[in-house]
Amino acid sequence: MLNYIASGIFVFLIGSNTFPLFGKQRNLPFKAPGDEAQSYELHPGARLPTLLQLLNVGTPDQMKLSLGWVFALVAYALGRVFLRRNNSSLISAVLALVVGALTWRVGVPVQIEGSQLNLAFLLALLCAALFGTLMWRTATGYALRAVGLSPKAAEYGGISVAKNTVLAMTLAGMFAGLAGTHYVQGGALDSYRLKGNMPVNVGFDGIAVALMGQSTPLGVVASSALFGTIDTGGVDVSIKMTGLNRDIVTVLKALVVLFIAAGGFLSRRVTDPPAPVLLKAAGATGKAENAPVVPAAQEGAVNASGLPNVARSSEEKTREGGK
Amino acid sequence: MDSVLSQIISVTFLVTFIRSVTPLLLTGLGGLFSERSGVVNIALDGLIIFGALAGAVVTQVTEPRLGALAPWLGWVTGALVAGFIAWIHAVLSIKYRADQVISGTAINLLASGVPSVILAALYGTSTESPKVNNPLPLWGVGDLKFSPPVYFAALMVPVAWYVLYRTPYGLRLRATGEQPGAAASMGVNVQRMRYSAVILSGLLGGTAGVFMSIGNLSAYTRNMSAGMGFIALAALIFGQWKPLGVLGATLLFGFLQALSLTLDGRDILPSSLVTVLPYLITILVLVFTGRSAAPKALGKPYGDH
Repeated sequence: MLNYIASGIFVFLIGSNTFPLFGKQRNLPFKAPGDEAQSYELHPGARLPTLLQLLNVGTPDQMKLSLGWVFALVAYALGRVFLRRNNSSLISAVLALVVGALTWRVGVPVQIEGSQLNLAFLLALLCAALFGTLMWRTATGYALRAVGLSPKAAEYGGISVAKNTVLAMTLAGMFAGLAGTHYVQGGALDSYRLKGNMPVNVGFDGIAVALMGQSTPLGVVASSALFGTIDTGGVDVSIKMTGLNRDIVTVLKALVVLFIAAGGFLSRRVTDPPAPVLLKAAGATGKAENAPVVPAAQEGAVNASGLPNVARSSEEKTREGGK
Repeated sequence: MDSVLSQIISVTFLVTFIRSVTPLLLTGLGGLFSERSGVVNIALDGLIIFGALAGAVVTQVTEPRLGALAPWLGWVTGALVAGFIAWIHAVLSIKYRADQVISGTAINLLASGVPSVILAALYGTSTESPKVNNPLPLWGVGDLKFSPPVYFAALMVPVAWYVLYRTPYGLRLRATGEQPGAAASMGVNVQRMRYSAVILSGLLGGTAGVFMSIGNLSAYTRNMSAGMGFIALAALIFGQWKPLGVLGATLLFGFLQALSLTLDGRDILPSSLVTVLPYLITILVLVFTGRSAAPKALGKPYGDH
């Protein structure tokens, strides 16, 4: 519902420079001249640098990609592996910073065409790290997770459910709002301005990405890489193959989410076949899945033999057992 | 200002009003069945889209042969297709115990992709279907003419009330949403009740879509649901999960939509902001209604597969 409100305000701000208000015409300063609904271009100082500009240690004509960050990462990894002390992560972080700063001028000349990959990418990675730290290393994060897992228990533990829900939504809004920097300040839509063709479906995809990543920072980074690849591939494919509709990509993503939501949709008989002993026992009564409670001795035998724990689960399958 | 008031108290406004209420009401009642059985149905918006698309396409394809009968076939197909999509949601959330919000989101995602692909395959354009020559007929007297789904929606309110509160099916449905364990112990097949309720919500949501594509207009256009499914969900919450409550809430939201349509193009407020009003007021209204009356087992999968 909020997205319809947002789009209304969006059109209001950059659709036209005048608006009627109780019979009078008022002026707005946002829309750039021209037919297209777009704002003025950002001042160069307000733009995010692209990663190429950021890592360029040569001249703008003769690109040289800095390798400092590679050395820094290697130093960090080495520090973590070889230092056997309590605060090894802190030491290796400092080490990485020093190594990175020292080797920053070392660069390899590259020939890359202009790309809109910009600082927003690093910002996103930083946010993932921030999110991980907040959720699993601080008291605030503990409260947030407690509220999500069991609101009642959290309430009895002295955690305010309402406060944390508001906090969670606020944080969610902040992270989602940062996505806008990629499109406006980062110039991902080929110009540094607010335009009518903001890819709004990114918001819905975000839900799916969070689900696929199981709400963990690493998982979200990985699943957003997958969705990003699918999206970019879709654009590429629709340019190269005329017969293919671009929205097939959306269908693909929807199916990915559907199947993930379904969890294991293959029958248990395929993923976790019942033990032969059980099948023999069930032969008299009918299907193995519906087998009545298995005698305790047999259950023990099945478990002792290291076979899948089917006997117990088939017991749980009865209506009362499953409760 | 007087002219605005006289515009609101007019037959044209009444027609706009009833046309705005109808899809909301149908979808809201559909959601009512699904949620009273304990299955969150956030996929309503997608169901509307699938219904609208199937209705328009089937009418357009069968038109040359069936003539005036085609839109009726379109209606039935639209409802059935949406029912089928709702069945997918049901399988995911009942059989595979998926998170119902996530599975609903997946359906909505599907609804934002599949129509363009189908339209592109059939007509070579991904935004709209060609206009049908035979939309659903208009019934009524004088200026008050509506297509059949309008009357169907009005009829569905007492029917839904009767089914929910005066039939064994309704009793079982409500029990399933409140205390599935207790219902099961009385011999109610919880899973089957939920399947039927979710499919019913698909049939009703699909009918709402059919009304939008070949009742109100005469073609399917991209994103034609315009968040109608979400507003219907809001109406469901505001109406406290009761048929008459849903009717009242959809009347309110429909009035706001008709108001924004009427104010649009007049120089009182910018039209872009006027279109925002229904959504804004819906949110404000939701702020002051709790989820207190929600079915207790809403959103919780039941039993094992």
